[in-house]
Amino acid sequence: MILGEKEMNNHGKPKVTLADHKEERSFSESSIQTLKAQLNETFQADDAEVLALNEDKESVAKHTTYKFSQKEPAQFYTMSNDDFLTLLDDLQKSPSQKQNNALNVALLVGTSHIPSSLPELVLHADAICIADIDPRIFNQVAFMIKCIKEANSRDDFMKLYLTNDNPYVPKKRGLGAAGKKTS
Amino acid sequence: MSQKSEAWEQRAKKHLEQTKIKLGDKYFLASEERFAICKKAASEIPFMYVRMNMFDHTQCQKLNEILKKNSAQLSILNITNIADYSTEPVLLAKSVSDLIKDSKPIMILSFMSGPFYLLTSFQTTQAEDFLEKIRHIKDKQLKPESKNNNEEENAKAIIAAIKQEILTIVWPIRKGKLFGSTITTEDKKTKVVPDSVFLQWKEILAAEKDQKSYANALKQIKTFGETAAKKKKKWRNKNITQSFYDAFTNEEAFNKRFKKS
Repeated sequence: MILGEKEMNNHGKPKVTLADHKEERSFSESSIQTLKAQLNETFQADDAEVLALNEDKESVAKHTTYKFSQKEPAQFYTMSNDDFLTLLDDLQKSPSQKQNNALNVALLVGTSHIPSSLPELVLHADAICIADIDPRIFNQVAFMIKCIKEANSRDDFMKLYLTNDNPYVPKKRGLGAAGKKTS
Repeated sequence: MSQKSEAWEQRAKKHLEQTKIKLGDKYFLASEERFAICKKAASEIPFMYVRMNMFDHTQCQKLNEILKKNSAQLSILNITNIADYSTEPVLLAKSVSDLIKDSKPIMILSFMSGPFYLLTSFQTTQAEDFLEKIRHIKDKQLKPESKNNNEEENAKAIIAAIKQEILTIVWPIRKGKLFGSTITTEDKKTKVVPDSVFLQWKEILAAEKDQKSYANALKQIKTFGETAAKKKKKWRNKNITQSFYDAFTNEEAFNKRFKKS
């Protein structure tokens, strides 16, 4: 399907496409900022980069066998642990769960193939909220998003991505300025 | 300015390549056109970051309260495979229940199942279906075969179990229907791609070809079985062959290779 093209879904309703989603927004920029500020205040996202992970074992241990990797920086996530993108693509044929008078949030754990899922995600949500027990993932996702926004081509992206600013670059050997949240 | 190491750069590129294998033309670097579409979407949608323990229901309640207070609701919830890390799935279901109390999102859950912990995803808009799936997440996991004194017999049994799983569960889902949506032949090129788990099967599926590869597969499966039993560690193969890829993208090739009996 060409993005922006009107098409009927299986339920006889027009499918929401990338071109449509802007007009459907019924929230202001300030409402986004208010929500963001309240989430930051409660969930300390702004402190993620300075969080001493090893001092927070008690909170992490609650009802989970998850263990933080002791490697610094965190290892590459070679795969997102799901078929999220495939499912989202499939859901283009289903009615969206967006509500007209609400700020519709996609809450995604971990990486969830976020860079590649964005075109499908904007059809289903007004804002993306990335949740994880390990805040280092925020640095990684945010850096990727920053590179995508700044690059004008794939080559541009690779140039920006393969720099010392990449949070994946090991800090200890002085190879880069890692750990800075970028957006 | 310090130089980043070449080894690091190679790892970074490899990481991107592995994602590309899985996502095909949906991968954000698959083409200039796809990149432009992803860039446009990235520029338009705001991002927020929430450092939380989803196993803790008080944190889920707090998040729900904040969303509600700001006239926000969840339209999508992807919890990936966190249920696999749950010590008490019933409590995780309670947490998720608190989180979605005032929303009606599309919900996605992934989980490991089968003797080789293959990744499967489940998606629904029905809260109770979703919570029930989480509550019984451990029931769905088939543990590795119990150790048999005869190592070769044990390995053969595992090979049979894997083949059966591919034939009866994974392949039909990947081949024809995906959650009620028909996948076209064209779609197969992108959707029926081998992911990291598929890579693990190469040796097993090729095992009956000749004595040597069969012996190698037995050896690897024996090692894997022992490791998996202890650590649930995934067994990975490094390479992928064209014939293996063909078998998963072409029905005729698949039948020729795997549906002999």
